[in-house]
Amino acid sequence: MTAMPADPDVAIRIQGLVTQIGGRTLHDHIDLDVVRGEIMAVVGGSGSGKSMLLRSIVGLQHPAGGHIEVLGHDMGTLSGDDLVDMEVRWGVLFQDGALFGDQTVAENVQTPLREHADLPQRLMDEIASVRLSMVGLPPDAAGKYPAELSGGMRKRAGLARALTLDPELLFLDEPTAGLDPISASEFDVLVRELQQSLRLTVFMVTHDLGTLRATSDRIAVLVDRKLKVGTIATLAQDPHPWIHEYFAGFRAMTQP
Amino acid sequence: MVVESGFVLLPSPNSAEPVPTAYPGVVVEIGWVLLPSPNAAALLPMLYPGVVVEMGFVLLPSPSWAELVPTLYPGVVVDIAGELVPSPIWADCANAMAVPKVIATANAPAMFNAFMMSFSLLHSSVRQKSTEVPVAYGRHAPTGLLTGLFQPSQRLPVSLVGIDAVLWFRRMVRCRRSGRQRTGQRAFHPIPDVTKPRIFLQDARSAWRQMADNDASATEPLMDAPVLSNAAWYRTEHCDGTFRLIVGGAWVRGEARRLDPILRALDIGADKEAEFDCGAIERLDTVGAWMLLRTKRSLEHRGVVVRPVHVDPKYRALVHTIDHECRAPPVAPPPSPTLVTTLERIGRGCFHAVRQGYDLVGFFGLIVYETVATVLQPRRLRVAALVHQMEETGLNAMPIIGLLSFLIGVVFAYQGSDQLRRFGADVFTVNLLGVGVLRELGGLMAAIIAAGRSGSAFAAQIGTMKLSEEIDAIQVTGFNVVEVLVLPRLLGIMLTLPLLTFYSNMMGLIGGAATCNLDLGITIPAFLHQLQGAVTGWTFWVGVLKAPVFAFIIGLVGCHQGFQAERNASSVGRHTTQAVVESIFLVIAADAVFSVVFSKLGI
Repeated sequence: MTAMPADPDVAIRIQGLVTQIGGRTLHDHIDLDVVRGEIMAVVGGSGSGKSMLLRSIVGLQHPAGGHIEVLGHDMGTLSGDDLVDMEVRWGVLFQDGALFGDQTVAENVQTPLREHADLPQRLMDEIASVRLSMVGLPPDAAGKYPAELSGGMRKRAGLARALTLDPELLFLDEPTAGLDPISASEFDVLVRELQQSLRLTVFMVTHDLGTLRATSDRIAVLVDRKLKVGTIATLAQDPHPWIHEYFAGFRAMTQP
Repeated sequence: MVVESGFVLLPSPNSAEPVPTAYPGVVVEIGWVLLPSPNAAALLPMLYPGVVVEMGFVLLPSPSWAELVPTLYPGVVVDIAGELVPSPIWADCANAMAVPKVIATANAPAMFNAFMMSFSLLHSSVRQKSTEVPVAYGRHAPTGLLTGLFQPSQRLPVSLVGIDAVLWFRRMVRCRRSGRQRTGQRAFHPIPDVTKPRIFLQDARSAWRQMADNDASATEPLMDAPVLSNAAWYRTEHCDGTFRLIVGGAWVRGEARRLDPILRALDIGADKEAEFDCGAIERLDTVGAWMLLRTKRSLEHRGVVVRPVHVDPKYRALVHTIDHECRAPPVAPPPSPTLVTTLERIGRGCFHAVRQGYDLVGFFGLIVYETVATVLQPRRLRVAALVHQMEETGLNAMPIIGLLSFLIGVVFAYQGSDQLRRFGADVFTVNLLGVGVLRELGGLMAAIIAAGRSGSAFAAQIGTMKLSEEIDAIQVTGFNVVEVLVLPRLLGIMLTLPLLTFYSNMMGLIGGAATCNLDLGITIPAFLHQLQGAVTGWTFWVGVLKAPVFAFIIGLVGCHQGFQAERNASSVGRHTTQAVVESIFLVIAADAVFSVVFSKLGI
């Protein structure tokens, strides 16, 4: 891997990112720094390109312009083995878990280990069990197939799989979408705890105000193809109508 | 400055030749040379013809190297034969203390170099059968390898060390090329007459003792020094009934293959207390932390009092999380196949097949019921969907069916004419072609291609709709699933397959006619005339009448398999394959039944 002179405290650095889908511009020269060890949440209206931003960072979507630097490496220049080396340093939780349907939960969790490490099967079984209890799944979930799990359990299993290789970076795509408020807040607590104990940097796309309040250190709002970064307190003062309305809802929630 | 004559190592065999002329009186003896790597051994005979390379033992600086060597030099086998102790003193101490694991010293690399050097000198002396062991001094060493260990002033007879090295080595680390290697070198070659110079062993020991007294650093505690800064290492200590496991380096998943069996087999003897010292850990991940905590738990399980594990503050949260939250037993591995599981699989397979047949009959009934209902109430038929399916299964299939049938006609005509020409009956090729294509081949070709194209498409479409809950959506919106999804497909293929069969028949005959014209000289009018005499109306109708039945089988099986799919991607794929296989099987089986029936009816 070609090491680039980079700020060691910055996990993700986006500079002048332009994304175009079918002639429509989703991101217009946006800049963002995600500092190591923080939870950065991205919010924005439906179709504003939040998930596309996540997909651009992990290399699923090629940007039309700009640079994305992850853990000090320019994603545009990585390919082959270097990219694989990069990919074992992050974990991604997709919206519905994206578990492999023909594998049990335990096999799903072991898949990254099987691919990227050479461990005895007995140890892998133990590690799968450790991971599942870390994300709060009961032991009997290990032998089940994804179709037999509820949405919340699928997300937890997906999180266990994303964490299998001890990533430095964790990407979450709408982690609490489709969960009931109790499961959602449990999931928020779980993410926060794991972020602290595993010293993760978390990049999260979400809609959920509860998640924002419970987990995020900083928030990036994607409006009018641009990013506005701040904390809940500073963004609540923002004059932009969408941001204003969004965080007005937040104020309503926090003020009894 | 005192000049002492001893041995000089020459950089290459070639350089030995000019030495006697350059320095009269100096005798050059060719002895043993240690090579920097096994690869060099392969190269040497090519560079210097006549030089024989023998593979023997190599001493490794530490057990960590034993892990590394096979990756650097594929084919080299490392045997761990015992324990390496840095000096006879330590060997004595180790024996007296009955320490179970004493491994290499901290300054093992330097010692390794010394061993290597003395090793080569020893061999030259063994070769010469001389009782006088040659002596080398550090400053003579061409690469300065010995300077780290032996100061020139000490004037230590290095070869004596060499003897010890060989003896230890035999107990410890053997590195040999496995006999199966493709290289032409001689396999494992034991060191000759090694035991002979053993008389010097006592001297060597005293020399070592003297050296150890001089060098305080030699009495540093032993450890398996990490040669690579990020290699995981461990060592164990017994002290006043307390067992200590001291670990360091990178305890990460890459090291797990090596560490896991060691930790599982960890023997703490009779100690009742244990302590894990993890302060030297440089990197720790979940796999490493888990291995340590598992060891801790298994000791606790045996009634040993284990003190809390101390790690670097940055890993404390990780260890804490695993220790406090992960109490679940390991995931049960899937049972390995036994006779019982094999029988169970066979049983399940049979049951599944019967169940499949039963379901298919049920589906057949449902379809018939819905079809009758639709006939009685024609407004329920979805004309747009039907036309769309007819286009998909009929019109779009025409190029491939046409081409294949044409080629089948060509093949059939060639093969037929080849056989019939022997009897001078080549004109009857037309009869063969007409009956064969019209009765069987045209219809079968069309049906098999339709099964491959449309049957699989039905299964995949319906299976994917099931996957994305579209079928549920259709149901809860008040539509009849069979009416919306199955009937248009089934009727579409039943209407188009007879047409495709006709088209296939024609293309087959055209192919045959073209071949007859070009190969046999049967003109088109002659062909048609002969054909008219060969086939009757029934010949044609037998082929075409079978088509709706084939179409029904293909549609039924395809749709049924689609509904059978579960909600995952691989299941959809499996059922699509099954739809094609099953429908082709049933089509050919039905064709056989038709043949029997028609022959009984005398048609």
